[in-house]
Amino acid sequence: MSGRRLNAPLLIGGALVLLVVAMALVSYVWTPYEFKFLPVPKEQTPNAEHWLGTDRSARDVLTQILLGARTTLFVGVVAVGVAAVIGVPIGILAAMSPGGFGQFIMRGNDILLAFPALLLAIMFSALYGGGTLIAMIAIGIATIPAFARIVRSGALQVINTEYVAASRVAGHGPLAIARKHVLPNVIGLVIVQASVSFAIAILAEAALSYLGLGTPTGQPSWGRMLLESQNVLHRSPHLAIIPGAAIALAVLGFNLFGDGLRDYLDPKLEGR
Amino acid sequence: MTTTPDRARGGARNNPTERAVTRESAPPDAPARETVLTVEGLDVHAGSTRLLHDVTFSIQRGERVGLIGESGSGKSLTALAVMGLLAEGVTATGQVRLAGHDTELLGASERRMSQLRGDRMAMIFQEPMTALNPTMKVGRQVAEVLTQHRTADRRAAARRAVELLGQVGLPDPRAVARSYPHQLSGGQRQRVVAAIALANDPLLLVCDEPTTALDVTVQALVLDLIVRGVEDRDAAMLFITHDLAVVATVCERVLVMYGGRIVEAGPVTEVLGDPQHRYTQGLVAASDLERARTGPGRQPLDTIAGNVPPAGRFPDGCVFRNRCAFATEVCEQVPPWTPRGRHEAGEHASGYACFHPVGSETGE
Amino acid sequence: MSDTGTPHDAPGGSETPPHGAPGRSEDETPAISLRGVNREFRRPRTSLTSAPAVVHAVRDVTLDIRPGERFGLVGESGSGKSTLLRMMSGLDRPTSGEIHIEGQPIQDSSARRLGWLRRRLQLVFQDPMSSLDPRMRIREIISEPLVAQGIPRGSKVDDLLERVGLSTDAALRFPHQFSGGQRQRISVARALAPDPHILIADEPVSALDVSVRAQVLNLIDEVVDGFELTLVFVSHDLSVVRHVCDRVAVMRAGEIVEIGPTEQLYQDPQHPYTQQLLASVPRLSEALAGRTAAELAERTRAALAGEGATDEAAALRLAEEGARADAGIDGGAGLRAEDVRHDRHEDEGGTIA
Repeated sequence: MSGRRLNAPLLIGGALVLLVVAMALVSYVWTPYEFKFLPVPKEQTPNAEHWLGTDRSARDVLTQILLGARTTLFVGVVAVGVAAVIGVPIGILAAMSPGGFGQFIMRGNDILLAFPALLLAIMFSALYGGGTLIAMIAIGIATIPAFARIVRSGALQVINTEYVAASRVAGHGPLAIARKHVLPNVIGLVIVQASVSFAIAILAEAALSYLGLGTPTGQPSWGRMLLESQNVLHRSPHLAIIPGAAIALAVLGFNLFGDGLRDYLDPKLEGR
Repeated sequence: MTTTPDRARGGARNNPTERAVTRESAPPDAPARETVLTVEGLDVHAGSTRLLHDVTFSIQRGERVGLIGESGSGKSLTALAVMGLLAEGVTATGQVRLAGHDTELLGASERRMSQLRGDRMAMIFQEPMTALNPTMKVGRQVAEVLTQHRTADRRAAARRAVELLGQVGLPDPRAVARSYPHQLSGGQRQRVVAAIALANDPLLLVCDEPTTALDVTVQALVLDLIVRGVEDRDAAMLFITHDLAVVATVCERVLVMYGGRIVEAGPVTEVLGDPQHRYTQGLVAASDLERARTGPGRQPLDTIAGNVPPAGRFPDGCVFRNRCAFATEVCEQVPPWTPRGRHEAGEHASGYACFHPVGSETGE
Repeated sequence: MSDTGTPHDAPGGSETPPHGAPGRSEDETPAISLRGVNREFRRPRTSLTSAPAVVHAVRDVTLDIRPGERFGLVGESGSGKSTLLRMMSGLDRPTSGEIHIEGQPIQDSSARRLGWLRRRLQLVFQDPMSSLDPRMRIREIISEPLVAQGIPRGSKVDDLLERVGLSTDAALRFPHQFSGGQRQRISVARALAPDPHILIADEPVSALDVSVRAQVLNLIDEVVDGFELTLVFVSHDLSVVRHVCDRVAVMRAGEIVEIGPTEQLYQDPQHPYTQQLLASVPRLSEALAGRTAAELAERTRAALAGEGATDEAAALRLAEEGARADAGIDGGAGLRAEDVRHDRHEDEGGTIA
């Protein structure tokens, strides 16, 4: 039996994801400067002292990028984690529940889906105070329906296959079937949805930060950097380009990684 | 084995069957009928995988030719190549010619092919639901092929559509014309597809497993309808199926495909009644459920050893040699085509490609 | 109800089953017994005011299958044969009526209490693609009934693989690495794993190539003999059923219209529908002897005329009547039937389970 083949999206995506992780880890032990206003000219373009320049408050951009990687990962993990951990079981439950109950779950899901994620985040912030965690839990909750929906439709297909019937005839109950057949066969969908949601969460964090509801001012974040650069876009475009590129590469990386991982985990693509 | 005397199918027949025959098919053998479709040296590749090898055959006017084979044999691929419907990335080389059109069809532009398709050549697919547009009334779909290829005016086309729907035996064709595909049953849908295919009196009708998705009673009626439609138009038919009994019922001549090659061809009675190629022999024996019943007790069925390899993984030389009990070293070469008897449509119309044909055992 | 009940001795009974297993043949309890079994499905609601349509997938079926018998169930799409089979195997429950497997009722038992049934009755499915979980290795697939039943696996998987004609290194591979015929062998091996008494085969060869079909039919024949099984064989293909079965029931629109010993039923069909089915099957020997499509259709129409078809249109209507009435009922293996209200219809997107 030949082994599974690593594919290009997995390798490229994996490398980009690893880069973000590495930046976040590095920021714990080393940053070029402290994250504060430095006694240097502001809005410097990249130079030997400040590899990526300084921003309009004269803070080192590379420092912010490194620290921002933490926020980015944190944001994605929390939002996607909340959404997947709650959404996947809901989707499977809805698919496997008899008529009325499954319908009921999905209608509740629809109501949540109709609720704009940002509005929910604003509501949460108003109720529980601002902060990245609260905002991201809100984004995660708003993303639950996306997971539940996609998992349910995938699970319905799995449930109607003959191998599930065979498993029932073998004597397995619903829990065993959910664990042994349904979950492994919808995990590909979950991974793809997670990579998409991860990207959305990163962007949502940026938007919320702008509204003052996400990451507080003292905490670096790529989204914040992007938004802060807005007013000086015409004279210091690199202040937008650098965090923009970081966000784009991270989003791209997670998407590629998700696609690659799905293919990698698919035994059908394993060599004959 | 069945000991049917060779006889010209489609000719005047004196069969012993009792019931009234609705219509005597095809005129008595007229020598040298016009050749409608010529396929020569057709090769099809998907990337570096060779799916069809040197497929050569022709069909004459009014002739019904069956193409039988199992999964991976390339029978559907042959039909798609003829119709110019190969998927992106699948390339065909060789020659495909249609009577009255000098140009080579394989290299023809999509525009040229779409002029021919639905007009001079038509196709009936296995799954009638996917062959029809679900958002369009059936009558309009039939009328559309008429207006597309002929300059018939809209109203005349609509009238003709109802007529055609009546011809394919649909009850109340007016009502059917006004319905959507999902409102019809599977058999009714396949009749609509047949009406569309026959609308412009094509020279060539290609049927790809047209009754496989239908129940057996409906199948009997739809097969009759297709044969009648083809006979009335004196069209050539290429009929693809995996069912030997169906092909024997519908066709005069049959091509047996295995592993992307035509391994045997000839009149149905010869090929299926007295096969020469070892694959055909095995196929006929394996599908013969009646023989196993005649012995005492329950007899095991004859089988062909092994499995059909996935497409592109057939052995070199004779494609059947890894499953053949008679294979020897010589089978590592591609067996030459051995014509069998004389056939008006040329030496590829009847013959086989086998080094150890049935009856050659003494040589071992 | 006990989880591990033994079949009780039924009073009376005279015949000895033809392929009776020693130790099982002396008691006359039918392997499968159906009494007045009905199954209704409610169609999705199409109007707010009127009640949703009810489809009778199976109507009043009463039937005994003897131990060791090879029983065939024939019908076209929508005839209710798959629904009936699903009820026999405890995958679905009748709306009314009783089903006994080896003397024990199953119609009211929840899935959890049917453990004993799983050890006695197993299924082989139609589609070799979808009947094996693509993400499981063959070893896990075949041992699934053992794991579910808490039976130690031992070397059983290897033994079973050899028994069905596959090499033991197949155990570590995935389903997509096998051809259709090989996958059906794996399916048979899985069904045999818990040493069942009854094997139900749902169109086991209709998705296979002709050259492979014969292999799988021979395999089923061998294991039914070798393991002394009761076989219920469901198919739309009359010639396959004729080859495999001792006794055949013909279903149409949810009802059994004719039942009898195979040869008797094929040579002297009594019900017009059976006659019609038999008339419409193309046969190689007849076709080679000169029977044309026109004659085949004519014979079919003549048989349909027995049911009142006077012209082509009426024949078509009759031929498709059953299918239209019950379209969408057969097939589809839902997870839900076990602990679910009857008369429930599947929600959007799925098939009716």
